[in-house]
Amino acid sequence: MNVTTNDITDANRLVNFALDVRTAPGANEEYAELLRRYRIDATLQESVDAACAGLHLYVIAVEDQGLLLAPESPSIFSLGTVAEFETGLTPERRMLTGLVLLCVAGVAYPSPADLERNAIVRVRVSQVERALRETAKVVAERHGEDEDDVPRAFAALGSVPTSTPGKKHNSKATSLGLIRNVLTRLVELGCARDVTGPSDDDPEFQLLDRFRHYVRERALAATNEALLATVTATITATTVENAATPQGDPQ
Amino acid sequence: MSQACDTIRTVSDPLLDDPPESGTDDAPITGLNAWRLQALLPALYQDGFYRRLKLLRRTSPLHRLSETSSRQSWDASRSYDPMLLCVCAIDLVMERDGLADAYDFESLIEAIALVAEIAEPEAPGSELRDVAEWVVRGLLGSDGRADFTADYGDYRGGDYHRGIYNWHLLKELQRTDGRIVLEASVDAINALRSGLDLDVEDAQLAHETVMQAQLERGDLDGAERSADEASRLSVALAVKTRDLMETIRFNMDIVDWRAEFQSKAADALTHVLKRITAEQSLSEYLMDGADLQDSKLRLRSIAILEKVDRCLTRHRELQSLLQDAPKVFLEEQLRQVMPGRTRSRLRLSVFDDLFVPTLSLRVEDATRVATTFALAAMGPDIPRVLDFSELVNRLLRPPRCEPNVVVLGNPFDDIVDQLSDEVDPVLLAAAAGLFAGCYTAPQLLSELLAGAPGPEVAEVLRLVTLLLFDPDDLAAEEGLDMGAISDVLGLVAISSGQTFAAAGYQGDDLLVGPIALLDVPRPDFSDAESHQAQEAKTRRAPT
Repeated sequence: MNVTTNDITDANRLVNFALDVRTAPGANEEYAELLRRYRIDATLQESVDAACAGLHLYVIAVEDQGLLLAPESPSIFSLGTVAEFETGLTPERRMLTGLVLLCVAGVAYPSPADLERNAIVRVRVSQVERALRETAKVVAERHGEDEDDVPRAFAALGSVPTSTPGKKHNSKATSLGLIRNVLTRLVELGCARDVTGPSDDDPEFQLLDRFRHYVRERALAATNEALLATVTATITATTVENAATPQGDPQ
Repeated sequence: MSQACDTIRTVSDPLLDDPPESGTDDAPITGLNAWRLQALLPALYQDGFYRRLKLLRRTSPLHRLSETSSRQSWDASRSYDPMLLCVCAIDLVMERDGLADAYDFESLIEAIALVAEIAEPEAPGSELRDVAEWVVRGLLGSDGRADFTADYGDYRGGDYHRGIYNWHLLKELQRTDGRIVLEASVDAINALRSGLDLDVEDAQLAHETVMQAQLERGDLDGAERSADEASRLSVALAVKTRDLMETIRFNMDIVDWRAEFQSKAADALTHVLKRITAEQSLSEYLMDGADLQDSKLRLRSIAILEKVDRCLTRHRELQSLLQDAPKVFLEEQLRQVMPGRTRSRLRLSVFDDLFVPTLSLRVEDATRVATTFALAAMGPDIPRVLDFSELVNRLLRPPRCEPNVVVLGNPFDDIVDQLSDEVDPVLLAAAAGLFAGCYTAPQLLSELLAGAPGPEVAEVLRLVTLLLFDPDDLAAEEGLDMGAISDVLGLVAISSGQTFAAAGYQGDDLLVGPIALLDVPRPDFSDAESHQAQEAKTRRAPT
């Protein structure tokens, strides 16, 4: 396969369009044409793959709405750590940020079928907050009082105040403020749109197909793997601990 | 009996109708009572019975809205009819489905508010909007979930069992131009078609034949009704075809290309091509009617012609979609065999299988799991590196000075005189009238274009908006010696970050508003008569 300089230029133009979340093929003829060619032209596909590989990116979906890229790790396009999600986050705030995003996705796509459905989902900040609180409460009740003293995620979540008293805009230290902050970041990344009305006290966001794709194609498997690894490590540690503990009273 | 069921299912299974439900296998009917019941009411064991039940359930959200209307924020004595408003909403969405000016959430609310206003002319605008928003949200589903769920009893298969039925009436979809528009589901269309339990294809054929006959005998009322129905059916077919393409993209594993998909797509394409031919012939017939001397007859013919033309446009789009179907299938196949890029085959619930277990973890473990999710779910982040060339251009741009108030005859004249000597003053006045609203509240270019009475005014609007967006560069390109046009009008256009495609235009949807948006004091027309306000604008001296 002979790749020409034109192919390289076109491939990089397409990657450029894909990275610009404000551009849509339906509103840009060049993007639409390159996307059409990408679907049928093996040379362009290979060139795009090569361009992406060089940038530590890869193609996760080819949709009518555009080419969807995801960063490999490490990549200059990768957030790398949640610390980069927002500067100055404490470890606990990082966890809360991740939990909020997990909850947003859970509220938007509660069943596997929802992740397959081509529809824009609307979420409100209060709706996510309610789900966070209620689930944390249920999990806390399930754990009961016979658990160890180790700090758990649900307890950390429970200790976050809901809102800033007497203020119209809740600070990021509150759960409502944090949820709004996370959703606003999704807007910046082209994964959501803020559709809050001018007189609306409860911010509302539309979660775009882009976000659904990232959750379905990347986050689901990666998180499941991390969760399984954590559970496996815990079980192994407990088993080793039990095995190391002498049976019966040494006295 | 089971053979009869199968026969019914095969005959009534249209191109893309609901898949057969679970529990409809050939299981024998067991028990004496079951045999008695089958003899007493055989329909209870047949699919047609459950299709009727589904149809009834599809309208349940509309009934729920009616029941809860008295508990809303507006006065309970108001005479709004939620059911009527719901059907209007679905009808409006279907009317423009697939077209450039398809309704989105906001525009549908505006349209429904207009319908509500006729019922309650005295009601304040905010209340009308609330009513309309409540209706649209009610049709979208609770919490924006875009679907409704109902459980149902089922006697098919011999044993009584219960199942769950999901459906939606309206949903929001992102178009290729980035705009999010509303789409009515086949369920909604069927519900609106009074339970017509026919293939979309058969119904279309029947309506075309009927319409042709109605036109030939001069029954324009009947022909218009048929054209409306044909339009709804074309939307139903469009939705079904899009669903088919979606199935390929998301559930390729369940699509049997050779045995099922290929023949369905080919049948659909044949059907669409036949519709195009029939509609072209109808369109030509109606064109003759458009030349009639009788103005009433002529107007009716034109109205029907517009409806037929809409069907034609949709069917042409479907033709292109269906012709691309094999390519989409192959492309999906290719995409899914790409090494390391296969989609996750996991069928997990984000909420139950990931979020809830993570909450139980120790903080350090939960941090690891939750951040893994966050990083994977957010996609690429574009590094915020400064674009130096753009930065330099911005720094070198002359600053906007304080306004120097000068009364002009008409600033639009000033601009257009320099653009062209041949612009019709009527067009100019119409464009100026539309821009006048931007002084009180910024408006999107798409909104301005939507309000344009004709393409010529739209072109003036577009041109002036572009000049307002980048006056210096564009004026220079045009060789115009007019300084900053923003300063002449006291208006400026900025990027809204959205794109649009409507009224024959597409591109960035610019926001036009007063210069105050850029922290420059806006001209004050508050005391001026609206006409005078158009005539006497303030201007700033060109820099």
